[in-house]
Amino acid sequence: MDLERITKKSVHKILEEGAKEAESYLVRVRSLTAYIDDDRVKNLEEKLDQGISVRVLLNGKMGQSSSTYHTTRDLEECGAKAVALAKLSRPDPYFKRFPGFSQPVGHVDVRQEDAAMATTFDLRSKVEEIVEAAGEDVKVPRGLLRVALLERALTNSNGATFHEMGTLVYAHFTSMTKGADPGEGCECHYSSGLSSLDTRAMGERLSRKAKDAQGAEHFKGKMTGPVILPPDELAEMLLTSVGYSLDGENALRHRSPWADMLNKEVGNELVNLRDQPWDPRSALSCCYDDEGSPTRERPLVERGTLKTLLYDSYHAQMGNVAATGNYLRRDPSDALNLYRRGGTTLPVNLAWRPGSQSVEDMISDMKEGLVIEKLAAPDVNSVTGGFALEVRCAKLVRDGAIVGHVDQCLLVGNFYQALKRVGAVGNDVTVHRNCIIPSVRFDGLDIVGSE
Amino acid sequence: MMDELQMAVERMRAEGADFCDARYQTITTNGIAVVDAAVRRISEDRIRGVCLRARKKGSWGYATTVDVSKGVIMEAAAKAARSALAGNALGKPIPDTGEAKLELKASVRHHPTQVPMEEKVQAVLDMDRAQKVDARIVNTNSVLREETRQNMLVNSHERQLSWEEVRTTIMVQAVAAEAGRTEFFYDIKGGGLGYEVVKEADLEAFGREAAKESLKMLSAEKAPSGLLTCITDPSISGLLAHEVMGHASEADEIVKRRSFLTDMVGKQVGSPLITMVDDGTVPEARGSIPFDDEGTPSSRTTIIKDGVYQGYMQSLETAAEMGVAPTGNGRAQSYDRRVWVRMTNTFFEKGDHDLDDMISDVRFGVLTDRMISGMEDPVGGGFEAKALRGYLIENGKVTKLLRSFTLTGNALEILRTGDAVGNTVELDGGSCGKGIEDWVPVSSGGPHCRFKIVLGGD
Repeated sequence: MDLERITKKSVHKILEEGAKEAESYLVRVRSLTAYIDDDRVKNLEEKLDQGISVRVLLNGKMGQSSSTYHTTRDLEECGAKAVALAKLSRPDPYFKRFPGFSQPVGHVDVRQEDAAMATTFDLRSKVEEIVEAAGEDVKVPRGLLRVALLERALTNSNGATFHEMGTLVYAHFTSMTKGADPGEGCECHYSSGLSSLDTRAMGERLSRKAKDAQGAEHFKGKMTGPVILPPDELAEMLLTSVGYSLDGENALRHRSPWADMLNKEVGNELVNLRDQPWDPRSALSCCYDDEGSPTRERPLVERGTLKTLLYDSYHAQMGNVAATGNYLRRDPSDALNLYRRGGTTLPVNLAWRPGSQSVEDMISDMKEGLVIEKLAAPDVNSVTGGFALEVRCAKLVRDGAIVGHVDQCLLVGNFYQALKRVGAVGNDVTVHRNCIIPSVRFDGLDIVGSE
Repeated sequence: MMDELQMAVERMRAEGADFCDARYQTITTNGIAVVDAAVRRISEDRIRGVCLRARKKGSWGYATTVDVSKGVIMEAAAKAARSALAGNALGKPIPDTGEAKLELKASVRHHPTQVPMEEKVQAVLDMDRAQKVDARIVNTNSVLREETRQNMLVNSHERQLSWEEVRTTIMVQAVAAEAGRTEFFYDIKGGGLGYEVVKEADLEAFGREAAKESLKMLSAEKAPSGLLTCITDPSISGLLAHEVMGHASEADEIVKRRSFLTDMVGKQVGSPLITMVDDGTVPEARGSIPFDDEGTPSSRTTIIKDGVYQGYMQSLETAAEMGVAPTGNGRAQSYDRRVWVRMTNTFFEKGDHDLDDMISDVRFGVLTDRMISGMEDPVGGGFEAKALRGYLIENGKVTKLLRSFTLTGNALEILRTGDAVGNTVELDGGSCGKGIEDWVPVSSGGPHCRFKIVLGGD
């Protein structure tokens, strides 16, 4: 049976159980992964997953349930459980209805044939190409390449319904130099199709990064200066700071630094952020978010000014505004158990408008600073914006030229303040998770060394 | 289901697998979340499925399905075996794990299924309302989460096991704001326990104290930076044990020579005051398990004894490679995830110092209080821990509250500077990923420990 029909049947059954409103979200996934261990193909996996998530409203009270879905009985039990839980809850002060039906505003198709039809043997070939391209003097101790075909459908009792298919491709590899005191490199790839994965280029980058890290010297002392963050590290920092502050819930609950900043300055003129939900490069692109609201292209921050906040249907009702189509249950690296996840409100694809400079140009403008290659864990304190991040490898720049590599130091600052000191925006746009962003130079960050 | 699993194992053997196992697992999670005194979520989530795993030489094939009908399971078994045969990794055969038939239930005092949901909802509401101690508390959050895992495993060495795991957690987080500044504080209780976590807690005090601490954070100051004397609290001590020494002691990293602790057995890696273990048998701890996901009973592994490195945590495969016994550390997030060498409860053992004495010896330094997160570095041995807050120590006395900061440095260099180890061990429950996925329930901890560490914070 097709997924849309199943969701309709599920909603009908839940309403029979006594719910006033019901929403049924169903996903079916085929996920393949090839794992590399120590340059060799270690695991080949094929996983089939199917599950349902149900939300209900009953006399103003909400209940939720999710389950893997195999038989009609799974559907019925899941719906009945959500209704039973709603009866035990308390009246919700804000939420009155699920979204109604809306025509899609834009169009995107992220079901790419090469990913949809891939086999574990195709993946094996790709990962072997990456290992080969990394060369003889660097090994790949750990890596994975995953493709998934994801089909999702939703129906609610207020008329919203959709059925979309998509594919995701995700790769994560580490490399290390052979011999004593090894250096480590890391590379990720996120996309909706296999054709954009350049296995040779990835292998070569893994090799270079491991060698750079091996030659790194411990940074001594302290420095305040410009720091270039590459797209992969910057994406994680953006999602934990800007991603959090764009969520309208956090503004409504007074825990966001951008709670009262609409149409005010949150960055300098080089900060230009948009939500691009129909960009075919990203696996999360979609016409409908995961509760049936249509997605829309929209400016988020223009020339440093905050233009909008994002709302799911719950918090749109809490704030008496319209839902923006940003309720996401999906992840660009993994498609399993999506029905089990609660949604979060995020840009579908957070895009930073690129500049005209290459990273080399940006480096040539620097007197003394760092170009980050790898941070241990690039997250930001969402509430305060503070960060102090271990630098695992960075290029040291003096007088516009790279003079060596450093490690064992902390990159320290406040991200919300740093957005007001953006010095340059690169042209090297890359997809990392659901961010489509270039390298960016932030001025005036602190580096604290080991002595 | 045991019969289907047994038939799947036979199918994988017939397809050419050297070793194989079949797991059936149901994970049921109940959650109640209250935000700003209103029930925001009340939910039950259940996943259920079968994992077929086959090994040929050193390669594994996995196939999983949520369709647990016999035909689909047999088809998945054949796929798993064929994938194993398609790999090219080398490996030693897995020794006989020994025949066993066992069925174990979780030994909790109040099983989550036996407590009315109404009582649970009221408990979470009580925790939340208790946080509203002051007008500057702008947001309150309270959560109860219960997880029950029912596991069944059959392998090609005649093991047939079924067991249950129950874990319960309560959490509060208060956000305070004043004059444009916003700070938060959290507290967590829980472990390998049932609803007794809630019944035995003073819920009002639990919520109230978290809120009061968040208010204190509004006046916290910036931490000093540079190499400093640092007394790590049990949660940060646990991050050092878990993230750096623990991950690097997972034997798959050793077999690949990816760990900075490769070939270190018998060598001095820290101060003689340091002893560290991984112990999956600690009663009521979040990382405790009767068996790992390969059916090996959990055990206690000494990793560092009096500063001397002792050895590694093992799965069936790594134990075979290294010619030692498995330690019960082959774990998977769920039936549809890979089995790796993973930690259970990882911690430094207690020493004999009082915290007050440890502080009184410090002329200028920092005492940490509670962790936010940490990151592994098995290759380089680097340590990164983000502390929620801390206290400045000046001339032997705690003087100022410090806001969030990060500790970093080379783990072995840090361990060598250890000159005092506290006399009380505490464990902190959480979830551990390997790389960036595959989350398993663990705990980490230790006593207060005094080291020299590089600090920095905004």
